[in-house]
Amino acid sequence: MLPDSVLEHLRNVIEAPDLDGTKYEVIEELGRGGMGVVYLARDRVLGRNVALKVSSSPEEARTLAALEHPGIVPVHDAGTLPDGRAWCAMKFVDGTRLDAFRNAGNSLADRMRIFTRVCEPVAFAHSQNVIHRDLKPANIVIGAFGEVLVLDWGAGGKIDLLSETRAGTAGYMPPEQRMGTNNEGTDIYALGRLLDYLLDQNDPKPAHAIAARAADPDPARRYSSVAELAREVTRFLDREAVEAYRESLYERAARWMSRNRTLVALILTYLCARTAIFFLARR
Amino acid sequence: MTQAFFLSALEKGTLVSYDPARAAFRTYLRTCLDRFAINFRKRDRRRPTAAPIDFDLPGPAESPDAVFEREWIRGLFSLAVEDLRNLHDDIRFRVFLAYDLNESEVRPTYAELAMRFGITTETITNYLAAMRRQFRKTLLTRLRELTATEREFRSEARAILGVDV
Repeated sequence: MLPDSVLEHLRNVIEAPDLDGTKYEVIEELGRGGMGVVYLARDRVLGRNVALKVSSSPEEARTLAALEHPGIVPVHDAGTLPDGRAWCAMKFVDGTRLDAFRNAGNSLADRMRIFTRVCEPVAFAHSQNVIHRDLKPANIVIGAFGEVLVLDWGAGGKIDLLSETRAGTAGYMPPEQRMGTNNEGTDIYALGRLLDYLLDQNDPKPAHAIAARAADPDPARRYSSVAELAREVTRFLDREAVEAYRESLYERAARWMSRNRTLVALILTYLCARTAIFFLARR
Repeated sequence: MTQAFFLSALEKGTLVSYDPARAAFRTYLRTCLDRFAINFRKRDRRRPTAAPIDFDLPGPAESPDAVFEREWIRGLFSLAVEDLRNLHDDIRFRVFLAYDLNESEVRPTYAELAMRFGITTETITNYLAAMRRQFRKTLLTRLRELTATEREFRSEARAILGVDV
């Protein structure tokens, strides 16, 4: 009988993709999830590294090939291994994951701007009737040039083909998704949870209100689309009123002054000067 | 106890009465073993002079399911290795033996193997890749023998090897 160490080694080597007959060779394993294993591989012909994903279904490659967007990692190549598993070679993004970005002490404005960039490819996918279903910090990478890429579309696909199947990550799955309901609201909820993850406790209430509305357990109370959610975040960034938060008169005045700092400074300067002139004139 | 189980199974026709439509063979075997172990223990308790039988599992945190699963896979892999040895009694298997079946803590490098066998490191890479490919096929052949239906075979292949065949 085989000892444990040999058994474990054999299980690993037979799981490694047999890429004989392709132009790729595996360098190392990058990560694994419910939908497959991702390897760093070398394209011998073009001399570049790629992210090579091995999964049980070729659907992800087809989904990605149909989604051409700067925020969606492009597929270079795809095929089937001799053992029947599907593989696809994608652009290798050597960037910062969203969780690392969040912990790097970036400003609220930077975090919110990155969030709107995450919304863009998701909104585009929705316009193609495709949802992601597994939006979470580990699946978002910020590239060397500041580009934001949404990875791992293996759990998603065409909405009408996903009916009543379940996938996703606990904490980012809406209540109705656990019951098998899949639609754009699934991603809107996950984006709400993602925004909440990006926020600190001390960040302004309107920002938290946007996250709470997007991740409302009742799908009818969420934003109706990702584009609407992104517009709301943009309003917040522009110091405009947001729909998710009813502000007090004091908060409205504070926001107005914050938005019109130069004007307020000019008025204050003018008033100070007028007051000074008034007193000097009385002497 | 193993012998007693198979003796009992042969006497009672336990394994013959397996119905592939109701469960996977592995699940059925596991259930038979569980029942046998419970009965064996009861009988053993009734005998005051019998030597105590150690039912402790190898690891304190391991469930019987995990132990059964692991041993099932170990058995399957061991059979496949023997099949591979019978199929390829040549330098390729000896390279596979020296690297993938190496039981020491540190495996030799490809360069060390190349020197030992008097071939290039590229040939070592090719031999290992070929033997691993053959090993996968042998495993699947064995798995097909151990499963009753195509559906069970595919389900086991997915569970054990993570492949859709």
